[in-house]
Amino acid sequence: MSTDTHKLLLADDDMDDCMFFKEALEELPLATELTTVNDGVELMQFLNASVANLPHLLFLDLNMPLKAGFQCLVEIKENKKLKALPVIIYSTSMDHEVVNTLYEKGAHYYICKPPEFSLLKKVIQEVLTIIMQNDAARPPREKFIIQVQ
Amino acid sequence: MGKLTREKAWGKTYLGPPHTWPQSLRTTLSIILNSKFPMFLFWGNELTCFYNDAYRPSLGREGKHPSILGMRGEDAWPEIWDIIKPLIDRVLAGGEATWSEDQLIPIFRNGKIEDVYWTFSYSPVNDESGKPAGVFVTCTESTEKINLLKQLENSNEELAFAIEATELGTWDYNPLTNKFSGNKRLKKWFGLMSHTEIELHHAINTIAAEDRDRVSAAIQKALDNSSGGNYDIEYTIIDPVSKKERIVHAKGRAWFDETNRPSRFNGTLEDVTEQTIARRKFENLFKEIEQHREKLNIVVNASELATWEMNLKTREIHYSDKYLEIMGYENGTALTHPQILKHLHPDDLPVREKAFEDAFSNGILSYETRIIWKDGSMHWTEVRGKVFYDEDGGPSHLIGTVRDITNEKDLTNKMEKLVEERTKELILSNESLKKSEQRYHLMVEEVQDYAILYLNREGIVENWNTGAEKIKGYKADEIIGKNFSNFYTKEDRESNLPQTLLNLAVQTGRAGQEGWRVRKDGSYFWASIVITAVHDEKGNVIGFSKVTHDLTDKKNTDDALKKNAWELEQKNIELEKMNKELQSFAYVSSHDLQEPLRKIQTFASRILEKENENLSEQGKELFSRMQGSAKRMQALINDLLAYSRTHTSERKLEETDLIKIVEQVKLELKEELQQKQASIEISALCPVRIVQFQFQQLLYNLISNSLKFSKPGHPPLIKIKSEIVEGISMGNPALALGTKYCHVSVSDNGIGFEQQYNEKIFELFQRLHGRMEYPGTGIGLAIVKKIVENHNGIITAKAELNKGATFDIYIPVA
Repeated sequence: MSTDTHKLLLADDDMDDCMFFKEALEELPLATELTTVNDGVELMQFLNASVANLPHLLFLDLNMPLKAGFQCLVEIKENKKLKALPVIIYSTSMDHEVVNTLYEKGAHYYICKPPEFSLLKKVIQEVLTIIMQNDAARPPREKFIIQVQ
Repeated sequence: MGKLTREKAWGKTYLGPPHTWPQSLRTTLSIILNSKFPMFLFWGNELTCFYNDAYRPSLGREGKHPSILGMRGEDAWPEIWDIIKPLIDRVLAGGEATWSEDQLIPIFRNGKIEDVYWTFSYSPVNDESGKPAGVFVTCTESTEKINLLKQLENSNEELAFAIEATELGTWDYNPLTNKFSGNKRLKKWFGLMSHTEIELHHAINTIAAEDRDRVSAAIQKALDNSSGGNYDIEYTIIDPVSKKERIVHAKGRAWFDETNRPSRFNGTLEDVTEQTIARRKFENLFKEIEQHREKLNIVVNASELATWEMNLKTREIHYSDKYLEIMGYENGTALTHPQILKHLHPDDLPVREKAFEDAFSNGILSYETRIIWKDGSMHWTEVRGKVFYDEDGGPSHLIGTVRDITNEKDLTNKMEKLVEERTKELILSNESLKKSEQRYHLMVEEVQDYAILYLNREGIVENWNTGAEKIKGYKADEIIGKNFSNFYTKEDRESNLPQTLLNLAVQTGRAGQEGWRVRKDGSYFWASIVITAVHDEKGNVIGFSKVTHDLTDKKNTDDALKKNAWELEQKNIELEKMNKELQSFAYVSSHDLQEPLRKIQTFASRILEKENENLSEQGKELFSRMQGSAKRMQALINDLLAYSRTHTSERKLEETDLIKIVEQVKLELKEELQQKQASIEISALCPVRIVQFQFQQLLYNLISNSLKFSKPGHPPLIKIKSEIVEGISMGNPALALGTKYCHVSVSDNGIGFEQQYNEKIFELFQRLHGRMEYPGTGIGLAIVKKIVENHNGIITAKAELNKGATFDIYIPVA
């Protein structure tokens, strides 16, 4: 992976979380370009329109109106043109079964939204680093959840 | 006549004396008088009559001879004058001579008017002047001829009539012309036109094919002189129109000329169809009778019957050889009636007399008597006979049979003795049977709780007991004789259930069923019935026994139970539904509750970071406490969510190695373990059937508790071990006897707790320390307990202050 600008896509309906994410990215020493969509339908439309020029990474919130994040993950991974896109689940719950299913459906990593801004910065950095190191390969299940303290 | 003519006194007549007569007259007279042919002459104006000898006979006796000689014509023939005068006048007028043949002109002769037939001619006689002066009559009487003809006609008529009456056909064959003809009848039979003659071979074609050769041969024979010309043959002809067969008897005779050639061949044909058919029938009948007679003889001979025949008038008897045998005589002996009677046993004479009396009144003779043979032995005979009557209705013959029945009689006597003995036996056994029947009756009769009935093969009720009356409501006399289908509901009857049950009983021996039945008053009851087929010695079904038990109460109870169970299930379903709702509610609400808390914390941390320089220490402190509260609330919500999930999640029990679970928990608590320098010892962990993620939660809670409640300055040491134990041996009354458990114990070296709280700690929201001492929601151990209970297990805790705590978990193995 080159040190070009990372094109990141964030799908989250929560305005605050979008603001946190954006500010966190700005404070990180990484070259990033962020696009935000606010619901599942908008996400799929955006992706299908950007097939020739997909983002490097998708941060996907699970609880979105119109179409939930889970459904979007499934659709992306079943779409030949989209399935290469690494999907980072960015959510608040920690249900074991849900997490397992997300892993099975092809998500790359799972991040629980941290309650502190500093932790948020940390976890974003960690994800980007790992992705870059592993060349966007999927991790084993034990490493699926990224937790920071 | 010449003499008479000469001698007549002509002077007084009109004509005068003969010498005055004209020459023509004299000439004519001489012709007439000399002729042997009957002649007559009317001469002159007076038409004076002259006639000759030959004519005289026609005048008969006592008639006109000789008076009319010389008389005026009109005077001579007054009776016919109007007939002959016109003829005379015509001739005299110059007309032609007349000719009349066989004319009937009655004249007076022989004392009366007779019918006379004449053939005559009137012709003119001219005188000297050349004009007709007289009428010359030549005539003959054809009366005889006519009469003969008439007779012949009559004869023919009579003959035809006779032939008609005999219904014969007559035929006539002319061998010279080969033509064949016959009377009307024959022609009809042969299909000939009534006026035709046909050739012989046409007639032969009417004969049936199989007879033709025979007939032709007979005809040829008849036509041969040497045979005598006789023809007598029967054959069949086929009516050409109706195609019916007609059997005919032809009789005839051929006539031969001097050269012995056949000149005529004629005869009669009689229709003998009916006779022939009758005769053939008779012949067949006769044959049949013969056959029957033969058969009868065979049968009689084969049987032991002797036949006899008695003429009732002469008392003569004819009998077969067998008869003698039966009477004890040798073949050929002649027996008379009195001799026979002597052999009769004297005591049986009245029997015979009575039998004969009866026979004469009703025509049938039948009796049995003893006879005593010459040698003194006694034999029984059976006599049968029939009376035959003559034309006056009086009895004329008696014909019958005799049979030696000595053996049978002996047998009969023996039989009668046996029967008597048997009857005595039967009477005795009947009585004992009656007694046992009575007992049985009482037995069945008085049973009240079961209806015990007997049905016949068709299902008709024949027996009834008290129980039946109680259960079904009918009295015995109301229901005996009726079909048992009366007890069934209308729907069951329509679907033919009664008959189906009977059939099942016939096939398999018994039929049982539970269902609704109808009482006499129309009310329903729930019955349990058993129908059992009853058999005779041969194994045929002769009826059924039916036992009915009223199960209405039981059914009601069952129904109530079923209803309860159903209601329970409904409640269960409702509860599950509610649970699911609750679960999603819990999930959603916790999530939605969490989100603002997270925001509060994040915003607070953001402010602390960004506005660090602008905030006073106090301000920072306040924010910090705010964050702390939010954190706590978050922890509480998480724990509550976890607690609710232990109730509602699926219980997928898997045989699991506890080590794996522990490793997972260690991962989860990696930082803390590291921070506190804690160590976990695992020993002898046996596999155990658990819901993996729940057990993981359990261990997480226990281990994180151990870490939390560790003694300061002492690195926590947590020991986890498990073993299989028998329930009974642990001394815990809650552990079931006879069940194997996996005993997992988790112990630490922390601060422990006072034993009196060993149950309180598992209660929801119960804590042993304040929030400032140790954080916590008071839910952790409640969750642990819930999980253990989910596994049908038990958890107990024991501890000592400052020594540590041990948690013992028992999970059933199977």
